[in-house]
Parts: sequence; C-alpha cells; structure tokens
Amino acid sequence: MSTSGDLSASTESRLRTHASAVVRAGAVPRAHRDDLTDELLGHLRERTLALRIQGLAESTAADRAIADFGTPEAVGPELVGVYHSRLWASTIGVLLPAVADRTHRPAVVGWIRLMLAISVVFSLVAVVLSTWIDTPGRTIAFLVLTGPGIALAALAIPALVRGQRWALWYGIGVSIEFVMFGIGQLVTASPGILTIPIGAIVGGGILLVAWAHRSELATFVSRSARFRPAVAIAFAATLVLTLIAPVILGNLATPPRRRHPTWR
Amino acid sequence: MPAPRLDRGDYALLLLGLLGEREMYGYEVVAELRDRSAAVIDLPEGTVYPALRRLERDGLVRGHWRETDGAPRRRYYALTLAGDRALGEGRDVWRRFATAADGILGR
Repeated sequence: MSTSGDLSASTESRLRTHASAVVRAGAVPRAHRDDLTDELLGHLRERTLALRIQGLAESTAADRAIADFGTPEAVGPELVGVYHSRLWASTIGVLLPAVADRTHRPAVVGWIRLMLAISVVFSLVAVVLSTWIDTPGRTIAFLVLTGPGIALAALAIPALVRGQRWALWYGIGVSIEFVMFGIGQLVTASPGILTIPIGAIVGGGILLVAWAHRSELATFVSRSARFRPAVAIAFAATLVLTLIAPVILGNLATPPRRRHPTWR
Repeated sequence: MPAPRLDRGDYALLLLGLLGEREMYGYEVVAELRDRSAAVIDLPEGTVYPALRRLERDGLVRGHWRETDGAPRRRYYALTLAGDRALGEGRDVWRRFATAADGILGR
C-alpha cells in the first residue's frame, strides 16, 4: 500500500468534502460521524496517492479516487441501514439523507425553511389549543387532517438544507398554501375591517424569490432523487388536507366545549 | 447474460473470509477483493465501509484505530469469535451451494 507523500490543500479539501457528503448521505449519528469521516478520508487519500505514484496528475488522481469510491447516493443508503432501524431506513431515511453541497446553498432555502418552521410552530400551537378547547373528537379530526402535514413540514426543514428535492417542493407547496390562506382571509374578512394577510405576503414573496433563483435551486437539489408520482400525490394530499381542515372542522357540529378559556 | 450479483450476505461472507486470514483496514480489503477476484468483484470502493460497519455492529468484527510509524492512522478490523463462527457456517453453506450449482451447470 502506498502511503508516502502529501496532498495539496485543495485536493485534501475536495477529498474531505466527498467523505463528509457520503457520511451526511448516510444520516450517520453524530457519535459516529467524525470517526467514519476520518476512515473514509483515509481511504480517499491513500487511493489518490497510489494513483499519483502510478503517474496521474494529482487532480486527476483525486477525480479517479472519488469516482472509484462511489457517489454519496450510492454509498449513503448503505450507511443508513447500518445505523438505523429498518423502519427508519425505509421511511425517514429515504426522505432525509444529505446530498447537497452546503457551500452553494441559495439564500432562499433559508427563507423557505424559516416559513416551514413558522408553519410547524403555528400548527402545533393550534393542536395544543384544540386539545384545550375542543372535544376529543374534534381534536382527533384536527390531528388527522393536519398531523401528516405538520410531520412532513417538520421533516422538510432538515431535509431541505441537505438538498432534498421533495423538501423544496414541499416548501413551495406550503408557500402556495400561505397565499391561499391569505386570499381566504381577505375574502371572508368582515366589511370595514382592515385585514393584512401577512402569511400571503410572506408566502408570495418566497414564491417570487424562488422563481427568480429557480436555476440555482434546481442545481442545489440536482443530486437528490426524483420522487415518484404517487409520493408527490400523497405529499400534495397532506397540503390539501391542511388547507381544507378549517372548512371541514367548521362544518362539524359544534360540540359543547369542555372548558372555556379565559383570556386576561 | 449479466454477471451474477453479490447480495449483502455474500459480500459480508467475503469480507469475513478476508479478515479471517489477518486483520485489515478498509483500503486493504478493497484491494484484496479486487486483486483476488481478478476485478470480477468490483463494487464501488466506498460500499466496503458500510459492510464493515454492519459486521462490527453485529459483533462479527472489531474495529480499532492503529498508528504505525511513517503511516497514517488507520482503522483495522479483526474477526471476533462470533465472526469466526459465522465464517465457518457461511463457508459450509457456500460450498454446499457451489457444489450443487456445479452439479447442475457441469464442471
């Protein structure tokens, strides 16, 4: 095994970036992350040095070492199965593993994540309020209608930073939902009362910025797998359910409240 | 006719077979697999690490870092007693299967 020699800082950085991307793609728990990254990096270094000794230029040797090692998409899923249960690997593990280069993350990704976080927080507050003021039946109906959407939005926050295509589209979907909620607010507002649809302004703004940076976003998620139409329909259904939840709950027979909250 | 593909269990058995001879680190394992199989077994190199870590999780191998003079720090893997047993059993199963396949396909 050839081990002698040093690599330039730029090659070292490229190899480390690849090793880190593989480890991120494997959703490796924090406790094992550094240890595994060091091991993979050691392999890439050794392979690059061996190829350089065979006569390749250092950058070509690094290209070849990275190609022979395998992409994060090829190696990552194998790691997911090592560190997580089969159930986790086949559900969250499919949605979460990292693939994107974090250094080229468009700024709008941060805004979409912030909006998703706001939507999760507001939804959770609504769930808590529902358990407080509604009957169990209405609370369960509320949870059934909005629970999957809340869970997906929460999962999309870390998935989006990793460049997952589904998370980007889910964020766009939530932005559209914000806009539609805002339009609904305006349509149903009492005459003479000034209504400012803040959600619609935020959602619309994010949609505009996302459209303006669509090519950067496409590049950012380009290494993520395309999802199947059935998955897209299921995800869209969670958004639609969240959107129509107020209408459905409004049409349920209003039950007697268990408690009457007193606001001071 | 496409070449037969290794499933995860076969791959693990090959790794146990190599580590049954002596302890090795990942890069060595990849090189041995490629050389001894005359490049017939030529998976993406990175896939050896999930396989080694899976064996370690299952208690069949033990990984440890070792530093030697003049060489970078490397993570070596050695067979455990359970791994040695699994190798013996796996080898028997494989040989029975290979004999059966030879009986059908001819030698």
